[in-house]
Amino acid sequence: GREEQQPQKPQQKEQQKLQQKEPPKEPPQQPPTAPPAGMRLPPISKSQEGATYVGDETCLTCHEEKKQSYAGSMHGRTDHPRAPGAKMGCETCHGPGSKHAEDETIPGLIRAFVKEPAREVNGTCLTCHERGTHALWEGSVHDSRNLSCSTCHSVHSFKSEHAQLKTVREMDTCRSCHRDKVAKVDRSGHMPLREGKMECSTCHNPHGSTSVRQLRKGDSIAEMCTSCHADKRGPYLWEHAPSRDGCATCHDPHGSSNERMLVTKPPILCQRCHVGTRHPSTIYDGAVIGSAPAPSIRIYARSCVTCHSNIHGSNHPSGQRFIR
Amino acid sequence: QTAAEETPTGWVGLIDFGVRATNLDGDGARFERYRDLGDGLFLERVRASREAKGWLLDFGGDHVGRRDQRFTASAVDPARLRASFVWDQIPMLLSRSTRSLYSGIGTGVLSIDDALQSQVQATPSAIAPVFAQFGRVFDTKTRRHIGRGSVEYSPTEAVTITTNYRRTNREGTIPFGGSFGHSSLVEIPAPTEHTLSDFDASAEYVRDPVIVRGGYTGSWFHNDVTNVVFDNPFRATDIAATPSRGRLTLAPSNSFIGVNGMVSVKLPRRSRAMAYVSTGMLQDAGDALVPQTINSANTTAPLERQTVEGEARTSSVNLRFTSRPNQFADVTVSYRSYDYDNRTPVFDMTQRVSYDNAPAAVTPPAETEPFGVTRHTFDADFRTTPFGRSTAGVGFTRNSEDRTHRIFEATTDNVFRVTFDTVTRQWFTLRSKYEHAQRRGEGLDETLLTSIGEQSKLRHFDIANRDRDRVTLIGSVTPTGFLNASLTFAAGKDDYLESVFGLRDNTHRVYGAGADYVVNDNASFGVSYSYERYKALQRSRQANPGVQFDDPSRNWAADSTDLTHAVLVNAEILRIAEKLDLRASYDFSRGRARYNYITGPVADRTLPEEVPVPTSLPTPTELPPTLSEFSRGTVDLIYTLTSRVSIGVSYWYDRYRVNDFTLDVDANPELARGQALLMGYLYRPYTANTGWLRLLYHW
Repeated sequence: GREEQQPQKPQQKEQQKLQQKEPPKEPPQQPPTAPPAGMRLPPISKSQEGATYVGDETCLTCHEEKKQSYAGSMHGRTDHPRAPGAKMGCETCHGPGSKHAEDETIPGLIRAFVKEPAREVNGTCLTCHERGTHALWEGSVHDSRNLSCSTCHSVHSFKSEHAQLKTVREMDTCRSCHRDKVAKVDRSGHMPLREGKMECSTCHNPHGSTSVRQLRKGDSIAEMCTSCHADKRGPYLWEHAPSRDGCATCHDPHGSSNERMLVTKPPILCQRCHVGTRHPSTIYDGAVIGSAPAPSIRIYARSCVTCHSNIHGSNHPSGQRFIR
Repeated sequence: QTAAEETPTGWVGLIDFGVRATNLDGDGARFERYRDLGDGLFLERVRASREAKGWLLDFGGDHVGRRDQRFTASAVDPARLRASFVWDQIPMLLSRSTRSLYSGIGTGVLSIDDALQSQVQATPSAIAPVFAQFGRVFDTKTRRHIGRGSVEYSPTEAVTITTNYRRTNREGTIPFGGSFGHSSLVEIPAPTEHTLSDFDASAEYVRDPVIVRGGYTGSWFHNDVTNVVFDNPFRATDIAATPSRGRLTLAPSNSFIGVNGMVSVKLPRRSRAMAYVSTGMLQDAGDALVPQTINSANTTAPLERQTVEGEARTSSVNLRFTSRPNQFADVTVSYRSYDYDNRTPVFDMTQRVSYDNAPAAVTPPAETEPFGVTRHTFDADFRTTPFGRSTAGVGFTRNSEDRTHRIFEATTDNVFRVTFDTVTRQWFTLRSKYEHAQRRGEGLDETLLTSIGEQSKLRHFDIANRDRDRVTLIGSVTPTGFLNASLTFAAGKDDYLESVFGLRDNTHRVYGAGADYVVNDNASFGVSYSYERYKALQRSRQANPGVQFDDPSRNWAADSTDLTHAVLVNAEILRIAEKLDLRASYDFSRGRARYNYITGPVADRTLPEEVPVPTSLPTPTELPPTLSEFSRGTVDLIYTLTSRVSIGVSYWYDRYRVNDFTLDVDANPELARGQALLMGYLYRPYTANTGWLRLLYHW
């Protein structure tokens, strides 16, 4: 009687209306006060010891605003065996809530991830997300720098169409730390990231990988690049060793102001390794650029790759200098 | 009852369509480099999803009907199966104003009318008027069509089987060099007609505490056109010294097949051990080598063999142990090896035919150098969090590499690092890292340099002895849940300490600042600025064989500086007026580069053992600085008519400015001059104003 006399919160009224319009297909079940034996759950906090599980209905009494994002995502599924919805609902991740429900003013009686160290947050997520692309998280670069899953992802306030990221575009999530890398996407030579045809995760697995630089495919930089650019894969009769050793010797995959995303302009770039005699050793200065009275074909237009066009390697019997 | 059971089961989705128009001044090809923003009707976005009989069905379309369209479809049974399909088209429009005398563009045979060749052969200066009269304008572009399907099936909760198939077809033309001699510059539209098929499958077993995974990967690249024959615009008939046609090899067809396996075991006290192995084989498809020359006036010696017989074996091992027993100890130790074993047999070149001209004997024969590399990397990191949320760490990496056919037989890179991270409860985060690395080579063979006429003191910077120092700082302050400000700083220097010639050093400085302010659920603002500076010094000697070769007074250096400023501003104000949403953004990026030539001693950067020598070279004329500047502003207004229908208006402003002494229009005032014939793929500026009227319908 006393509870009925208390004024109802607006969210509670909305909830009642919903229930009146769309009665549940099955009568609500009483939530179990303890998880069934064998159910894998994240560890609970010390202050939650002795608490019992109260069920989603109780949680939503106060946290109605969390419902939409939870219900609309895979987390809310009851038919996915590893989803919180199929386990203990909200309390799968946040721990048993009876103590918190009794007095929400006492901090620490419910797990709130924004206040927890990364290792605790990640331990919770990894209870279920321990396989597939997440299998190599532990010991990965991001893990070792104390990033938590909630640094990039949000369970209740995500904005992206996929992967529940905190930003609409994946690139903007990465930008928060890798500002210099993402800024290069706005240069004239760039991969089609800003056009939405690629994402950072096209090449990198931020959750860890067996390759270098958290690359998603292959076991080296060259293997990653040639997984799409297989025309550069070879093996060639005549190899240009630096290009086989690593594409990033000459190219900046994140973008550059130079043609073909080169790290600097030819012939300057090529002259970093080719001094020798005759034309590689020559200063190609302002007196021989294309607009000069006596231009040199070794600087204007395609510069060195005018002749050395097969610079990644050649299968021509005379391809030693990559001219044919 | 869980929230999921209340999910609506009918179709839900949206369609975003309308009409747009662009007022363009300048290079439309660069404006539409990887996209299609043509005028007229657009169907920007379609989404439809529903749940039926336990299946989640999703369909999507972007830029429907355009050259950059994409379609997606997925069906998910959350308990067992995920199937998805993607069709994606990626255009790459390089130029709409390229011109050529060639017919057969897009094929492996590029021909010029014999009469025109004869006319130019008789009167070389006729190339300009001939090109002006007969050069045809064509689009230089390629497009990728990608079909991708994947299935992930979980017969039990512990087992997941994943298969992916991707087929990429790329066709079109790209600018390519096809010269006929040292003083000749001919640019051709090289055909791009290839298909890449990738298939991979893996099975993963997960049962606490073990994850076991085995996988197969196969990749087959097929090039329809592995060589291109192109007429010489300057000559109609073959003579020994100059051909009437040239022949270039293009990318060879090839395949890569690999298998891999991984075991990961969760250990007590928050520890995990992981082992991964993979092996693969890369093979040339066995196409016949092209003959030495297509020049009918020359006879060449028979080739040593008729195919490349290209083959390389790869293998990789990865071992990792990581443990976080408590806040005081966080240890990660890993070992990684990678081997690229190139088994392509050595090929002897007894004659060289550089430009389909007269063959020259090569004595002794030049041998191919099938490059191979083996890498061993050991990593160890220790971190501790003794107080609160601050973590301090030290780490060490040793990377040893053995290579074939390079001036250093082996290199070892030792990397020491310290990190300090503070992640407070809400309001302050700092991540910092300092790294010092020393790379040293062994087994230096300077004869590999001198045998090809190179300076013996040149060092290739990717394997040269090098000291490296790098520091990064990322800090952010979140005084309230609504405001976040961040600062980033990065600096570093690579010092190639024994490279008398080649890249001597490079440095970088990156400064960034940003702030995001979320006023409430309906309004947010963000601003970000970054400044980057990259500098590099390289040294050379302008010399011909003989006395000049050893003359230090002919030394010169190039000092390169790249500066970039980038600004990003965005605002989102929902319900700026009743039923009206506003989104606006502005991106700006300006890159400037300067290349200064220095003759004589280089102050502060001359090697200690060198004796400064006055220069005997003339004072170089400075190169003009380059500029590459992008600006983009967008404003989107959406007015909600009903719960299902909204209308919108958008305005996009795009501008590109460029100065480039090799590729802009000023640097290439004539496409045909002397012994040069270009296609005209050049850097051109543009300004575009695009207006959109759209209707959004939700159901």
